[in-house]
Amino acid sequence: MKIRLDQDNLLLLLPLTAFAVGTLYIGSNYGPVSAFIPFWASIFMLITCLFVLLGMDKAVDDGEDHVAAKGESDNHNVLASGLWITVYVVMAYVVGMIPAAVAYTFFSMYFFGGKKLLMAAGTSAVLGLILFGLFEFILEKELYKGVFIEGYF
Amino acid sequence: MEALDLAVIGDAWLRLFELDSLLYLMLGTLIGLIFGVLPGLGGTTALALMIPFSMNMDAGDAIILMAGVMGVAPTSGAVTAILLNTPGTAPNAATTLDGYPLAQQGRAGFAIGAAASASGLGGIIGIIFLIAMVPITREIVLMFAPTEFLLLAVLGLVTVSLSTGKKFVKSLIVGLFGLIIASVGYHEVTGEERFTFGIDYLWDGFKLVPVMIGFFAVSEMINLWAKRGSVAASGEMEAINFRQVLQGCLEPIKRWKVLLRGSAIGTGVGALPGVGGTVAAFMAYTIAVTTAKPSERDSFGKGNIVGVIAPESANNAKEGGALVPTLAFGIPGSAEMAVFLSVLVLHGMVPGPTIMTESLDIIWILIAAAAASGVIASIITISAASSIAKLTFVDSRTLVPIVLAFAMIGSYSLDNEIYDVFTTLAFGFVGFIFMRFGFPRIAFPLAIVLGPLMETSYFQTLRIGDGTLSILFDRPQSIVIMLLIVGCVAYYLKGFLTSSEGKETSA
Repeated sequence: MKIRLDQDNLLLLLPLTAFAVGTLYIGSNYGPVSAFIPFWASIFMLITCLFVLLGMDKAVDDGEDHVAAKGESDNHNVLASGLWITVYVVMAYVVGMIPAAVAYTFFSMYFFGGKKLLMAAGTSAVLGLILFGLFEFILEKELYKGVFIEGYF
Repeated sequence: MEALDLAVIGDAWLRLFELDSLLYLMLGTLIGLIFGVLPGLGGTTALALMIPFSMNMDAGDAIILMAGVMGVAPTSGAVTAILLNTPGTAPNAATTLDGYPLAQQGRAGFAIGAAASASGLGGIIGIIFLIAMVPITREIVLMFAPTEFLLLAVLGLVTVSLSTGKKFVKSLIVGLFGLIIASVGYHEVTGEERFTFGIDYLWDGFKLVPVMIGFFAVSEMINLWAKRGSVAASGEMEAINFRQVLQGCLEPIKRWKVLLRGSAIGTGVGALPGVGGTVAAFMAYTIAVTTAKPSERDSFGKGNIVGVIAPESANNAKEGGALVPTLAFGIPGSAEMAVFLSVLVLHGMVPGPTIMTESLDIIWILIAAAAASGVIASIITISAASSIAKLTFVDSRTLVPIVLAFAMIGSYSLDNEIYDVFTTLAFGFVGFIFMRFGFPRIAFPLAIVLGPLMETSYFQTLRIGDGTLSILFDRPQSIVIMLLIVGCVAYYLKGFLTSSEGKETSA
């Protein structure tokens, strides 16, 4: 059996292997009962990560449904998607949950989805009302109002 | 409490017919319907999003809501499978084989009627199996001690990973990662702080709800936004004739042998941890083809109604079967059941002996709700099929922000903690990365739920065994479970060695 590095999964397996080594190192310093999962899980994780990293599971898994190896444009889309979803969380932290949801929906629909202004504004306003009614009135949950009202962390 | 106490069973049904309960059931059904129709989202995402809302309810109402979601998702997924050749959930893929050709022949209503009716009847057969298993399972579970629960948790992770077939090792990696994440924070028994790095937020560990919402719902949203366009590719949708729908509804009764066989396969496969609905549906389809008359076999794949009835009955019947290991041993049969398991845990019910003895009333409420939701789902699916299918044409630029808002606010509202939103986002990325690299995610929720159970069972095993694990080899139950674990690993290794030899020979 030839052993060769699994290039397809390298970007994921290297951090996972490092994670396993790190948790093994830290976990082995805990008491015997507390260290049970951190120690044994990281040992097995290290072994399994190395198994895949060295391409040993290629014998059974040819990675045909592996999607990370798609083209550059696809990777660009994923990066943009991740960034745009992070923007929502940042907006929620700064201006509060409901204003962020309304603004985010509007921007998503109007600027990225090519929807008409009225459609985007109407949908985001209705969403805001539903969220407000559901959480603040029905569930009686006071939602986060943003860093300017609630203060920093 | 007796397992088949008629008063408890009667109370459960009466509870279900209270106005509040019916509303929760309808709400769950509606949400499950929407998510079930949208490919890639499905019941797991819907359940994860519903967790924060269920926290404000009492356990019975929460279970009813969740049963509504679980009951309808497989049924509604059949509508898009038939009308658009786009399965709403993975098990509905088997339905496209004959359902879509039927729609192309102008018999969409007939196929939808048969699918909905087979789903409803299959679900009821699965529930009957569950009812029959409750008293037996209870006796079996009471034979188990913490030693066995420790081993069962390991067995659960191994079997769930094994169910991913050739991706066994990758699934194990995800499961082990989940176990380490579950160990963050104070140890329940020793009080020792682990992996907190001085961050106060991590003292209690990662909370289940933000982690689950992130891992399943947010990761799907990242994927959906990156894909662009609508959830399903827009195409021609066949018109639905209501008379055909009614004719289709009667078809599973006429072909009762196919229905019963499909349901039996569904319940049997569903009861095996980790195997899931896709295997059940395709197995039922394959057996339907192989047992058909030789003259009929050629019609499969070209619009044979048996090819719709068999997978749909199996797909819904598996829910009843899957609830058996979930409730009795805390080993869920699917990612959906793993999320459902976390709902039980959050409401203070520990799957295993406790739930089978102390929460039987809740189990019967669940059974009643699951049976009712299957029937309601079938009725709704039949009456609103074409409207349901149109949901798949919703643009991702509209759907993503709406789902994301519910996900993030739901995550925050659990403890009014803004850090939970960041946790949700972080686990959204983690879930997405695993998905993108083709690592099966099913073992992760299982590990998160089973981690604390494993730690407690390990501690109790040490106490019973005077500080050693030698007791593992003293009890026959433990030895049987250990043999099963070894058997599962050996099964994978056998396939691995055979494939290696085959590849070397061909090279």
